[in-house]
Amino acid sequence: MKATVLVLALGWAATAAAGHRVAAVSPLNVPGIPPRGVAGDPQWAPDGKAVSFELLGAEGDTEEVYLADVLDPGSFPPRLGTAATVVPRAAKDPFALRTQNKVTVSEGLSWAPPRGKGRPVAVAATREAVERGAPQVSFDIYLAEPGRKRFLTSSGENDAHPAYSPDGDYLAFSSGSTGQGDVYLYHFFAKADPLTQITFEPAGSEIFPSWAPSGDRLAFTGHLGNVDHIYVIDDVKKLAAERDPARRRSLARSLTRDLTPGWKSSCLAPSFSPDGKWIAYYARASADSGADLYVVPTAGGESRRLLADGLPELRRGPRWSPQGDGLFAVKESADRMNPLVWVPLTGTPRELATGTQLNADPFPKRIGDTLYLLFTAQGDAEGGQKRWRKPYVARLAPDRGN
Amino acid sequence: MERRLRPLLIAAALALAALALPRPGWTAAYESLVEQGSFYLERGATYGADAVRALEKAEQESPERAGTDPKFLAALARAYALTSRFTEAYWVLDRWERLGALAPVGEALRARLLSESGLGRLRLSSAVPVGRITARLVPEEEERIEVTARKALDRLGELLARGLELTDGGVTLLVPEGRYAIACDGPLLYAPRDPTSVEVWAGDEGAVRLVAAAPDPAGWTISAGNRTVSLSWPPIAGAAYELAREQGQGERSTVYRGAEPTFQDAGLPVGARVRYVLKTYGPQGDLIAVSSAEAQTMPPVSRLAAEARLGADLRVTVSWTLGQGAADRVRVVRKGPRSEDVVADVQERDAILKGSVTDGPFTPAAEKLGLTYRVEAWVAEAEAASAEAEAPAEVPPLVERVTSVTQGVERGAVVLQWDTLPREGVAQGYAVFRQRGEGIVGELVGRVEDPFAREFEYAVEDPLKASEWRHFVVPYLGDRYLLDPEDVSFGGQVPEETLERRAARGRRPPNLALAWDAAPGAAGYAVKVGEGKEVFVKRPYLEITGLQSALMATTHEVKIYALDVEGRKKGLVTVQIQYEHYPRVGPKEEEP
Repeated sequence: MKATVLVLALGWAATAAAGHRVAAVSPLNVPGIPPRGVAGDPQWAPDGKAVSFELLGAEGDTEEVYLADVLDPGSFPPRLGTAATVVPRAAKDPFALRTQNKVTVSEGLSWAPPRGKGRPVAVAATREAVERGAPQVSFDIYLAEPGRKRFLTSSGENDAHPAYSPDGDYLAFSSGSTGQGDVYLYHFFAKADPLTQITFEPAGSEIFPSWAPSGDRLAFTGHLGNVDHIYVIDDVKKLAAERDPARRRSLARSLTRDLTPGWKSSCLAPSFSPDGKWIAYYARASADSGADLYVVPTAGGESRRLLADGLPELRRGPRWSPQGDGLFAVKESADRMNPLVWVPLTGTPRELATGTQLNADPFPKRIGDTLYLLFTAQGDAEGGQKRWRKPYVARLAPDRGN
Repeated sequence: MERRLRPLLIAAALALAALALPRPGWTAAYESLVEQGSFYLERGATYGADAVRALEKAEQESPERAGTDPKFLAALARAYALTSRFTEAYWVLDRWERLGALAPVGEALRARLLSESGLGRLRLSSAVPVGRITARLVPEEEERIEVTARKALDRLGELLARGLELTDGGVTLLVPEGRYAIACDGPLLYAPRDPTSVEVWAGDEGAVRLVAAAPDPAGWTISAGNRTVSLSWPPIAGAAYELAREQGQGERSTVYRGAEPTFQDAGLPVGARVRYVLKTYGPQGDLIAVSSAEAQTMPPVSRLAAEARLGADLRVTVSWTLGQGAADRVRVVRKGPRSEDVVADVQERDAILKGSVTDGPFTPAAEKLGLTYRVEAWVAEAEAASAEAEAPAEVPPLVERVTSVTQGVERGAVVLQWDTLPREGVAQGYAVFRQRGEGIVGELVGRVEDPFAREFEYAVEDPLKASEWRHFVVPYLGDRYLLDPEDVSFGGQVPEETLERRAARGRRPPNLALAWDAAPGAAGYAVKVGEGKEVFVKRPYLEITGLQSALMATTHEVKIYALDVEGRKKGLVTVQIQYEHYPRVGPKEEEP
């Protein structure tokens, strides 16, 4: 017994030593954005040379995705260039049959893998001006890169949650064009129709597609009735290659697995670990309970809770560390003002002392030898401006378990 | 007359005025087609091709009007863009902009094309005009071409196949992003004819430099010598040149780099066919043109003419003229019965093409001497002559004697003419003697240094007296007079009376009386005077007359041989006889 306790204690100590601590934290100065507004979903570009984030207008009537180049990667905080919206404002389309309008709502940016000279991104955006909260909003998938800006879809229903495949050849997204919401693939190099439907539940909706790092699997949240499960499609490109819709539907059934069978309530956006062996997701046991952070083996098996009462990340699912040994999350705690936490795959979650409050949207990125963490926060814990959610950046260092 | 003409003139003026006025029918057709095109445009992409057709027809209807009509240009640009003919849309916008500023819709369209359509600009340019070219643009990774770009690529391919006129040194294409192999073709184009890889990025600009096939080979000035080729070509301002020579099995070597459009290549083999490749580089060092031309150095001379002529100095002059071609030396060879002698080996450049050499002098002999000269033209390091010709010459036989001397006195001069035996015979010259009287020693009047001479004249003070003189013409060779061998005669086996008695009787004694001891066993004897006459005697005694001349001193060699029964000679005695000549010193008026 004593030996067991000793081993467990030693194991805990070793695990606790493999963590992160905040070495420095700073607000991110982003030239060119309105001073008032709510920032969300900050992301690093895959090459670490640009950042993106959403900005909800101060009046709540606009939401746009911004991009800014990192001018001096070695500096801390990173010095950014003037931010610009992904979707150009007052874009003129001489060929539009409809009246030209400003695009005012864009969200859910997905970065393509680095390719040549450009950094392609995809967002869900409206073609026509809408007011936030308007009863009818139609999002389409918008592609932007140097020399190319266009809508990829125009279904008339909402197309959202774009997600680039790791090789950049495909873009997965959810579309309401057929039923409640199905996952589609846009193949950039298709010989004919680039769009392919890959989920077919007529009474349910499949949303939040997420690619495995290998590019052969796709996870998504399937909502049916009152419950949401995490599903994974094995060999998604084989499915996409099947051009006959009936055969594809049949093949989809055989390639799709439910990783949370029997789950009784909500699962939210999934994300694969960097090694592809795990899928993390938030789930609520009930509508009244908090969102807990779970991991489940990609190959199937029991889900394991890593963090209770987390603040769910909706855009792209939970944020894995680049090493895949854990996740960065936000602990929903009124007392602690929603601190950022490091959630190891094995071990106890540890709070990250950023000195900020009401944190959200952690996005880790290793650039060179340094691990950075983008996040949003509503000001410093000790004082200063607290009204608007701003982007922050932290530089992390290994935690030796002091 | 005037009254009848007036109506005709008025009618003609009205007709001319009507022709000068713009016809309403033409304008209406153009306008109608432009309106039609705009109508189709408003109906969207489905009618894009119809819009293009109508607008292109409008341009054919009135090209001048279309070129300056912003409404037409705007509609055409939109129609081209709508039908994925993005490059042509871009060109129309350029035309529109040259009229003045683009309207906002034009600016928006151009921004759309360049920044939002996934197209990159690819500029094909040439520093030297290449005229009209066609091109093929083939994706290197077909499967990596986006589905939305395929139609644009097809339309672009059609445009390139129709041909492009590179004005102002270049043309810009709008190309979907991707990696391509581009190959061009055109009569004035050198490269790239083989597929060349080019990468196009959306929103970015790339370039393909075309290399012209220039200058036209017909524009080169080429002058070929034996081993040199002089080249010049039309210059290009600011250009630098690199000239390479190709010979034999395609071996190429650079022979010139510089800014001058001219070069002389030296040290080439004769008759060599050489190809020159000229590369022209622009001020930035980029290759802008390539041209080539061929030249051939002069082949070895293959014809020559030669002539050999015997001169008055008994020397043979061999002259030649070479035909067109290269030669480094001329050899003149005298062919003999058993050997050949090189008379001359000429290598001076100026003397090769046309020259002469002299051989001799030749000494006439009893028989005429036939000579054959072979003139050879050689190229250095050749194994054989490239051309040769033979020229015969003949040295006539030696004069034996002068025959039939005729003399006359004309106009205060004595004129002598003579023949020789043989008639064509030659000597080095002829000495003319005169004898003023019988028995008087002759005196030398003059010499004719001409082997072929047959006459002589000299002035006299007293033609009458001169007419009585006797003249003798004696050929000579060197310092030897060729006396008439017939003058020498033999006689008297045994003297019957003494020479004194004979002289007293008035019978001229011989010049020489020979007696010798009999040789044991001799069947007879042979006596030879000089190289000429020979006589056979039985007894050891002979008288010889004619050895002495009243004209000149003479020298004779008399040889005596003993003959055995079989006629074999054995030398017994050799006698050298020399007669001196003492010219007579007479009255002064008689002296020549």
